[in-house]
Order: sequence, then structure tokens, then C-alpha cells
Amino acid sequence: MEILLGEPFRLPRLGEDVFRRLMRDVRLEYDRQKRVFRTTTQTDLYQLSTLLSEVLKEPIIYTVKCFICGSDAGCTSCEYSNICDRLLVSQNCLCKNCLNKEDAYTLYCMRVAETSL
Amino acid sequence: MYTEKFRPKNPSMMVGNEESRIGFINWLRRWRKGAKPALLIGPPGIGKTTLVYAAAESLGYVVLEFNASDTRTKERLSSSLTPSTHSLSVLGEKLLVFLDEVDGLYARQDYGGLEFIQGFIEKSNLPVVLAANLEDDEKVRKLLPKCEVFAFKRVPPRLIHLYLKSLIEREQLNITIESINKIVEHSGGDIRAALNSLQAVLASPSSEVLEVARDKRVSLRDALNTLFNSSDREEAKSALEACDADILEKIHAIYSSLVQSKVESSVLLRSLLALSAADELVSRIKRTQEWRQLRYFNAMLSHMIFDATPRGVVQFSQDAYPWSIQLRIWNDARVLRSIGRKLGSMLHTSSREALIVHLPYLAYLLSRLGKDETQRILREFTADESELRVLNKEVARFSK
Ligand SMILES: Nc1ncnc2c1ncn2[C@@H]1O[C@H](COP(=O)(O)OP(=O)(O)O)[C@@H](O)[C@H]1O
Ligand SMILES: [Mg+2]
Ligand SMILES: [Zn+2]
Ligand SMILES: [Zn+2]
Repeated sequence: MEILLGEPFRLPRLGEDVFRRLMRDVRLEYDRQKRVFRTTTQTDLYQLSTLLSEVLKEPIIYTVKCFICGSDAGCTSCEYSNICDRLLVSQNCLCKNCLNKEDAYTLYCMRVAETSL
Repeated sequence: MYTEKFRPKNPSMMVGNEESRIGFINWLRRWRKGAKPALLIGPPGIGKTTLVYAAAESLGYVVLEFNASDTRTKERLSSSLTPSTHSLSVLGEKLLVFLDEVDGLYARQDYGGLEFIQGFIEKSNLPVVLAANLEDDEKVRKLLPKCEVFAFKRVPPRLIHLYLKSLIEREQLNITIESINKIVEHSGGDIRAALNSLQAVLASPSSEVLEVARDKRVSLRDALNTLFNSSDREEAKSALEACDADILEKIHAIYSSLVQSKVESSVLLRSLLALSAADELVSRIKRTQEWRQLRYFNAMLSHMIFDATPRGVVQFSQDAYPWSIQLRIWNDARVLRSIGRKLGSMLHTSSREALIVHLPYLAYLLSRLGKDETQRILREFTADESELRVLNKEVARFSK
């Protein structure tokens, strides 16, 4: 299963016990109305993948979002993939396309400023 | 120093940790008397200190900083609660109290750091911000429930690349793209380290000084790959020591790397047993809180794994396969006890330990082998049909 960090995702019913662990130990965010989960900066990604891969019996793959355009940043084809540890870095990156834009840094800073208003 | 010269003055000029950065600014923006203090926690060199100053600046606060390395911190903190600081705020200055590197504060022997800080937090009617490098520190952990916590992580390589490139263009620095890539690769997600390398490379363009500038912190991936592949026992040890990851995280990652590699099963078994001994030790330390013992842990673990695994066969693997050791309510308690006794005497451990710690490893390991081989090994272990049934059930827990 692939999880886009910081973005809502659904899970099949996992039972109360697993749900409680997802909330309390893993600190995943849950939106009751929309019934979707989301990783936050507080989420223990290591525990999340351990727990989910155990109950879903499939590996959990994390991908990150491009902070400028919102699309998948494309970790698998990232030129730095051999040194980037998804469990240890913060939740957003840049896609190849945005990274190569001439004013990429300005665009990135503007997005941060917009979001914090 | 580039790190000072290029210290961003505005929070939106920084890179990485967007959510926590924005969260912290909003915390300060909405701060009211009686609000919890903010605690910024995360590895060094990613901008915690910078953010506090930049956010304060942009919201019109003056920062009163107290650093752990300053011996007079306690005295000065106490006096910051006195009327003189209040009169400062009466004069119209908005003040913010910043306790940087509180984990270092605790390390100092000369005063009751934690109690003092807790008392201070409760009394202060100014916004208080704490920053710490170690989340794993037991004392820092005690502060977590009393604080609004903002977790920071390392900065993704592409964002460091972006930041360096923008500086280089702005300052018209002369450096090749290959060198930038190299700096990013060596930075370990640490922007301070990246800036120091940049400065060093520019100072002597022909040299390979990248390593020197680096605050020696190693990613889990690098550490384990060195551990599995280096032919130098000491190098393997240093790599594991230089990696900040939590000890259990290290054990789990070693585990998942081992089981996903193609080592011969007897070798794998030997390595896994070494690992489960290490795991037991950690849980004992966590239980008894004898944290000092952890100092030798990296050395012990690296030597055990180094001695047990052939070089160059295992690679770091991040697909952590579950191995959580849960005390389930066993339907087969009696049978399991006898399995535990047998396994325990083979492994020279108690039967309880054999069941809780070793059996899951073995079951997982067996689940990766072919059906016939699994049955052959199980039958070598026992001829008892009910034991075989239970063991097969254990193995099945791990099979798809
Ligand atoms: N996220 C960042 N964006 C831009 N520059 C940074 C960032 N983090 C660190 N730096 C640079 O590195 C230097 C050290 O950062 P600092 O705030 O002291 O890190 P920390 O407090 O997390 O150890 C700063 O002076 C700044 O030049
Ligand atoms: Mg700092
Ligand atoms: Zn993009
Ligand atoms: Zn990446």
C-alpha cells in the first residue's frame, strides 16, 4: 500500500484495537466526518508501517508531495533516492519539474507564506 | 561563517519542515497568557534556533535567550521573572523567553534542570519556547505533555539543493553543479553542515573537504550498509554510533535487512539470535531505566552483527516486516510451554524468553522458506503432532 505523506487516505476496517493504536501510539490523524486518515509531523511513521504491514499483510511505501504543485514528488526516480531516508526527512519535497523551474525557490517560499496566513 | 551570513531573517525563507514551521508561527501569533510553552524538537542543523528568531522578528517580539552552555542560566532565568523584565514589557516591548538546547541543560550536573524549567514554565507569563535535539532523552520526554510540541525532521535533499542553488545564484558564487550535488549528498539533511561544506569547498575548490565540515551524523541506511559491508570491525561500530536513530529502530532495521537478504539460513539464524539477545537487553534497559548501559549498546550490537554475518551479503532494507512481539492469549498455552522449554534449552534462554523473543523470529524466518523445507526443519525440531500444528500456525501468521 502506498501512502502519500500529509494527504488523506482511507483504510479498510481494522478493528477497534488497531484503530486505538493508530490513534494513541502512532498518532495518526483521523477525520470522523470524511472517514479519512492523515499523517502529521507527530506521526510515528516507523510504527505506522510496522503496524499496517502486519495487519494488511503488505509492505507500506511512503511517498511525498511536491510542496509547489501538490503532485507526487516522485521519490522512486529521485536523483537523491540513495541517500534520502523517508522516515527521517520532513513530509514535503519538490517534483523534478518544479525543482527545475527557474524561480523554484521563490515559488516555494511563496507557497509557505500563503499557507501560513 | 556562511551559517551566520545566510541565516534566514524570515520564516518563509527557510526550507523543509513546512507544517511545523507554519504551526509554530501560528502558535506565537495566537499566544495568550496561560498558553502552554512551545517545544521544538528535532535533529541539529535544521533551523530550530533560526526559526525562533525569525518568527519573533516577524511578529515583533524581542527574544530573551538562555542557553544551556551558559553557567548562569538558572540565575538569569530567575531574574527574568522579576519586575525588571515586566517593566520592559510595560514599556511596550513584547518579550519571548527562549530556552535553547534544553537537552543539554539537563546533561549539566550543577542544578536540578527539569524541576527548575517546569517551575519556570508554570510561573512565566511571557511566551516560552524550548528547543531540544533529542526526543529520546527521558527528561525531554517528560516535558512533552506540558508543551505544544512541534516535531522537526531532516530536510529532504532536493530542498537543500534548492536552497544552496538560490544562495549561489544570489551571491554569484562559483561552484559546479557536481559539487552542489556532492554537498547535498554529504549533508545528511543538515543545512548547517551543507553550508559549512559549501564554504569549505569555495575556500579550496580542488579539495575533497566535504567530509570534514560535516557534523558526523549518519543515516540509518548508511550506518547499516557500513555495518553489513565493511571489513573493518571498528568502522562498523563507529557507523552505528554515528547514527541517531532510536536503538529499537536500529534493531528492527537490521532485522528487516537480514530477513530480506539472501544469506544462508544457518547464518541468518545465528544473526537473528544475536539480534534478539540485543533486543532483550534493550527492553531490560527500558524497563529498569538503567540508561547508562545504553552507552555500550551500539558497540555491542555492531560487534555481534559484524561477527555473525558474512560481509557484503546483506543490504539495508526499509520494508520493515512486522515482528511485533505481542503477548497474545494463547489457545495453545500448554503446547507452547513445551515448545518454549525445548527452544529455550536449545538457545540457552528461559522458555518464556524463547517464546516471546525467539519464536516470532523463527516463525517469520520459516515463513520465507519453501513449504517442504519448513516442514523438514519443523520435524527436526519436534515429532509431536500438536507442537507441529501450533508451530505451523505461528509460521502461517507471517505468510500471506
Ligand atoms: N531550514 C533552514 N533553512 C535555511 N537555512 C537553515 C535552515 N536550517 C538551518 N539553516 C542554516 O543553518 C544554520 C544553523 O541552523 P540552526 O537554526 O542553528 O539549527 P538548529 O537550531 O536546528 O540546530 C543557520 O544559521 C542557517 O544559516
Ligand atoms: Mg539550535
Ligand atoms: Zn511540483
Ligand atoms: Zn526524495
